[in-house]
Amino acid sequence: MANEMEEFQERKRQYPRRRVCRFCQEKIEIDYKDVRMLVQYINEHGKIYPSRMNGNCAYHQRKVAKAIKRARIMALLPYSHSHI
Amino acid sequence: MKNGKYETLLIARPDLEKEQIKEMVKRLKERIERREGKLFQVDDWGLRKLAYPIRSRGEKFYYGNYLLLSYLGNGGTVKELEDYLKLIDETFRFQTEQVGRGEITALLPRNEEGEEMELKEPIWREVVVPEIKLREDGEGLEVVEPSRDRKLSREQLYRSRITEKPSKEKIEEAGEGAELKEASVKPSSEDKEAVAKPGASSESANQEGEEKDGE
Repeated sequence: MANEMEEFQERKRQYPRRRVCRFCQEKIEIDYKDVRMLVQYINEHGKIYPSRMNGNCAYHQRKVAKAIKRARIMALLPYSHSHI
Repeated sequence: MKNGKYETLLIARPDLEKEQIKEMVKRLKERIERREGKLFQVDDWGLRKLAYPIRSRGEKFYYGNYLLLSYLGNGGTVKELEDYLKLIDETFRFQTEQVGRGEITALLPRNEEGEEMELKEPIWREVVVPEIKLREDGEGLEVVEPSRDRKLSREQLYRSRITEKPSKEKIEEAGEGAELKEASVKPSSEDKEAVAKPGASSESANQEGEEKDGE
């Protein structure tokens, strides 16, 4: 019983490290022309990653999503997989 | 009217020569100055592959010449410039963003001593902006830096749905020249064989493109 309890507590301690928002930490400005930065936030199908995966805060996730959509209009980023 | 600093990114036709682009920028500068604006910087991104083909005025573009115009002005300046960009044939897409606020005189570029720089001609910079490519193994995207002096054929740059005007012989064969002239601008599926040109492969590609047009 004691063993099980220890195991349980050990397991409990191993939680995934909380990701922090890159933009809050490094204070980077989000620009739709910065293709190199924005490409980290889309997958190979051109979809925007959710904030639970890239760790952005809600404020910066909105900004990134907006920048990606602006970049798509100017054909800097693809809308879908079939385009590439 | 909001005074401030604006940036307009535009895509021009891929087949323009360097002199033609400079001449176009000169006209755009004139337009900006007409409404108390001041063009102070032009970033030339060069010929870039578009992330997806864009159709405009019966043509399908795969490449484009990107230009980023940085200027000071107000809402009227932006409207004047955008109205003109819609009008001319050289450009097929643009987007404007306000990047700074404040009076025009306060935003003018300054030199190291803090004095206002007198710019008769805008600063011309050549900038390399990476392109996005799917990795060869199909897993993830890749960032590639395009080379400045790549040479591509017209077929690779863009495809035109507007075929050349039919020769006199063909008009005589058809008997009705007026109808054929219309057909030459927008060939219907029936007339396509009659007006068939060496670029038959490009037409079939266009047909595929038309189906995808709804995207």
